[in-house]
Amino acid sequence: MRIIKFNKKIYRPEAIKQAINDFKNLANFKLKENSDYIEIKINKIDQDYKDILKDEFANYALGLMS
Amino acid sequence: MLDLQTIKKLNDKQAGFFRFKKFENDNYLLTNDIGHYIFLPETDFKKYIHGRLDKKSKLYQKLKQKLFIKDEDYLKNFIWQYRQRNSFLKYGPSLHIVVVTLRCNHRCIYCHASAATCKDKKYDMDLKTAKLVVDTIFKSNNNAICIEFQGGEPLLNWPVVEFIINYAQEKNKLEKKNLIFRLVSNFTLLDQKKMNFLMTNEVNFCTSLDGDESTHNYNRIFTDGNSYKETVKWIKKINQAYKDKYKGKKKNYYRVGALITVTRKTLANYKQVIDTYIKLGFRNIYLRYLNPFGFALQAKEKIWYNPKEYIDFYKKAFDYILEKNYQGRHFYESMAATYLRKILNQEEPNNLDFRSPCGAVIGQLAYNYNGDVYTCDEGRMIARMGGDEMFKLGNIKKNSLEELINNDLCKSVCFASCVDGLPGFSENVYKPYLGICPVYNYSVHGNIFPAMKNNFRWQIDEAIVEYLFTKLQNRKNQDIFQEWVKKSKPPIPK
Amino acid sequence: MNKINNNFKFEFDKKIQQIEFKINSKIYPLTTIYQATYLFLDKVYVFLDGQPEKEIKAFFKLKEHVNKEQLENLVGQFYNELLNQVLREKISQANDKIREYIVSQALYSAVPSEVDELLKEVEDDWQKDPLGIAQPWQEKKQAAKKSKKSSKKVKSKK
Repeated sequence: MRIIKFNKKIYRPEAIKQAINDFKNLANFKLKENSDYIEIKINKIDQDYKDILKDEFANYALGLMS
Repeated sequence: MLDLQTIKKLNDKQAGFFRFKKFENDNYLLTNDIGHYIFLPETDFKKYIHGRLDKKSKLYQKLKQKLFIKDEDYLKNFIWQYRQRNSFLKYGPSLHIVVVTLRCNHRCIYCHASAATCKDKKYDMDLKTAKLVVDTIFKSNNNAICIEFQGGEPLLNWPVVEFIINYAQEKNKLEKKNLIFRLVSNFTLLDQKKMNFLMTNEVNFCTSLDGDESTHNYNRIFTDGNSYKETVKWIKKINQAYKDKYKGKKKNYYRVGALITVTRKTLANYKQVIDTYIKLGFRNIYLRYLNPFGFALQAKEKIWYNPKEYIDFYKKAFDYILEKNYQGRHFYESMAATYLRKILNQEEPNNLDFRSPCGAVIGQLAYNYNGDVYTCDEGRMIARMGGDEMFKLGNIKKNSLEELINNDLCKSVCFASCVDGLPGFSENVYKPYLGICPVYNYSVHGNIFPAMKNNFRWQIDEAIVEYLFTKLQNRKNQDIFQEWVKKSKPPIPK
Repeated sequence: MNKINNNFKFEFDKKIQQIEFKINSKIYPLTTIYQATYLFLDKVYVFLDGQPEKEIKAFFKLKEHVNKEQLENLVGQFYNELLNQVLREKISQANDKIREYIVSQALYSAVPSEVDELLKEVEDDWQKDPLGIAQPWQEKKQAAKKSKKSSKKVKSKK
């Protein structure tokens, strides 16, 4: 399992949710939100991408911010 | 080097809007929304942004003339030139691609159209549909109309090609539009009678020629003969016929147009490919890269390359062509000429693939054999590949031209192909010259908006424009490029 | 701790090939950080954290192994790009309104609106005066008399 904590003042929740939708075929995503952070738990990652998925996902979410 | 102190001193009263990039030789390239450009050494760049240039200097006058300085004439001149640059927005579609059949007698390894076999006559357009297509085309408010026959191989449905030309000419006696025909064909089904008819009706001939015989036949499989020999035979015949027709009248007479689809096999053979084109009397070559449509995707292992490989090939081919020009041979690369027209003349040459917004719907329409109408030929190819009708506007048997154009799909593709406001594009120094293809983005990324900067097409297009600017810094090249711009408007038979 | 210059320090974790550095968001607004990092997404994995009002912590995880020189180059390029984005933002802000004005004047005024066209048609028609409303009755009477006389002449010639 991989965990990422996105700072809500930097990453828009809509961008994270869009990224989850676009990556849904590659892994399971669980979202938990508090006042400061959005915590994403990623498991059941597609074997071909297990080493890079977390980083690619974060990049993708940041790309959606622009 | 830029630093915070330099930036703080920006004189925003004087500096008009510009985009910039620092080149390896420490010169700054500046461009603006009209497409004017200028190279400034670092010291002058700093003086410019600080508003410290001598107003009597040649440099200041040059910047003013190119609308980088906000003076009393700035607004008036900018509005006028911006309007000129974007005047294409006033008019409806001018290019009408008519797919008279999906059948083809070739099996090209990269076929973007996913051609059907010769036997499948159900994929032929009938005369009733053809008449409706022409009626619809003439409803465009654009006075310049180009009817382009595509396929498959359009000559496989010769009766409909002949009918469309005759019927359109008849209609045009009343409509009086600036009407052009273009035939995109492999030429293997041409005969003297057809050639005479097409020449009499001043149809532009266009074909695919993938270079020397070995490369061409590898890419373009023709089981009934030698594709290269047949294509070249007709190129020579048509060119000779035009030469005879315009003997003594025009120096710059019309010639057959051709393009090459670059595959992996082409990459190492760029010299042979260019030499073949020169030997056959072509004035130019269009080094078209692969697109992710049709059979090209299935043959990925055999034919594809990454952007770096193509860019490397392009630069070598470009330098080879430039060398030919230094030796007195007038020959140009078409993509480069398109960009140079934008850079040197601030004009919009209306190459619909490289425009912002692109040509989908507002510049072109694609009519399929069954009357279905698509945003563009690429949109039609997506449908043909996997049945995805994402880019289908309607059908001419059910929808008027207004219904086909005035809909949400048209607005979406326009919006998605406007580089203004797109991250990675809008602040890019090459933005005035580049365009993007929403259909391409959809095919590769599943989204009509470009996903990331490592988009195959974007990397290549940007690299080509950057290479041109690198070359533009050499005065000797500027004269050659001006010639290319002049010659890249080929004479049409009329 | 590595340095590009006195304003830009970074730390490099060799084990996970990750660079960490701090960006003063009072000097480099968040929008410019987004723009700059966007241009590096194909080269590195980027993660941002921190307090946007004061300072952003940026983590660059390298996609492939690099040597010290390449690493410093990359960080230097990013720093330069941040500066470029700040200048771009200033130029953009200074010229936003004027650009909007230019585009609207250039594109809108070149295409007459449907209402304008309809009004023009009506005005033209009115000027032609098809019902002769604007013509004084005396003139009309005289014109009618003249045409009667000329038709009588024609009949007598026949």
